[in-house]
Amino acid sequence: MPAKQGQITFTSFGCLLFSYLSGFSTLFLIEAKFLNQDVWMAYSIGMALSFGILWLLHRTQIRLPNLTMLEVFDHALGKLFSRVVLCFYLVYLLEIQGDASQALTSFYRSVVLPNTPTNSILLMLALTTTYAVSVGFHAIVRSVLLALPFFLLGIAFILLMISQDVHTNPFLPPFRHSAALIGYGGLLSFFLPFGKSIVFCFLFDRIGSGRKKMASIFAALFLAGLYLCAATYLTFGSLGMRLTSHSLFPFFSAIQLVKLGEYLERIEIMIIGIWTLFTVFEIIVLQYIFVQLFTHVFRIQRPKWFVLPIGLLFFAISERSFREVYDQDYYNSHIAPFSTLIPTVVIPLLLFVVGSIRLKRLSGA
Amino acid sequence: MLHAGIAVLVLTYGTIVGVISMRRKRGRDALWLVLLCCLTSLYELPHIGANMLTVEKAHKLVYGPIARTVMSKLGIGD
Repeated sequence: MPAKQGQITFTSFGCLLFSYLSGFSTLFLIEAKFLNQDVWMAYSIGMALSFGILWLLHRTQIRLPNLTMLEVFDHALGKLFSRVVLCFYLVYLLEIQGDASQALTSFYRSVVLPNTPTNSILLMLALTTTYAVSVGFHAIVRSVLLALPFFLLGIAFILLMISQDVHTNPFLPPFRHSAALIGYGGLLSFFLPFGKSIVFCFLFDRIGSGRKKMASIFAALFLAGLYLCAATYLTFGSLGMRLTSHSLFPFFSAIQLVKLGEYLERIEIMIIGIWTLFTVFEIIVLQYIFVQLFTHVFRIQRPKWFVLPIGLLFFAISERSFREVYDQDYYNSHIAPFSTLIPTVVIPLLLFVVGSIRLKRLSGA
Repeated sequence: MLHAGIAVLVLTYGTIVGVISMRRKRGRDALWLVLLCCLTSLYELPHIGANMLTVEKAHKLVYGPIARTVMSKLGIGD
């Protein structure tokens, strides 16, 4: 079915969500360090929880199908309260983008550009994402569709090469951790990467309604989970549990083991280029949604003029956050799983409950 | 230098676009733009910016004790 004017297809939406989730998901593998071979359970919990929350948001939105999600927030919660609630999302987006920008910068500084100052990489990143946001949503989606085949090809190739070093199933024996630890791992994987998908509810109006929307979301979540599971499996298989737990970027360490022939060493650099491109897409989408929310919350008439200052605010905040890489590791494994619960779980549940009472009356009237 | 340059750039941008917005009867846009630019430039000031509250610092203050309690209850050490 062709997309309506101003909308994108379900496939494009799914590809955008997949690229958004897959960019930075395999960088630290925090939950894998906690749960070792039982990590797939954490991924399943994270995926199921994210899909459930997005389904609730979808159910709320289809009560008023002609409105954007932001307008649905206004109708369901009242204008003033909805603005307060949306401010939580603004803070959440700042938190996630700071985390992603610093993660990408620390990765680049550790692996490729050790002599480049952090500020310079962050500034380049901010200017790139600002430009991407200024060219518009459709251009972002088209560039994702263009980059996705290269990403899939590169990652499939590298996974195939790593698999040659794996001789036993590292996910065996299962159920070696307590239910509490598996639950906490689920919370970790819900924070990163699956729970980040909740902000895609603000893009629901960019695709048509119906079952295909949820099917594309499910496909994207499932494929992102599959990719994450494969990356973890191969990392454990090639590095072993102990080295994976002690490595800062375990999947990258596994990629480094790949040697193709005698002369084509450092093939991982090419793969990193494609791999980190998706983290940039993630920050672009976050910045785009931030501009949309900011425009709505503060009733801005001309959002284009705010793109550059918002990009520079992103730069300033990410520069002042997570100064040390171990600070970031601690934050991601101890603080963020709790701090992100309000925008990713509490508010969607509140919207669903209040919306099912108030919007039923509105749609019936 | 980079910080000072960005602070000046963002303040100049805020002033010019803010004035244009005011002339086009978009006072609210101008107000929020100037506030946003001032906030960004404050973060860029060398001594003030480093001590300003960020989302990370605020969340560590608010959620740190909660996280520690939950994790000790679950038996997950640091």
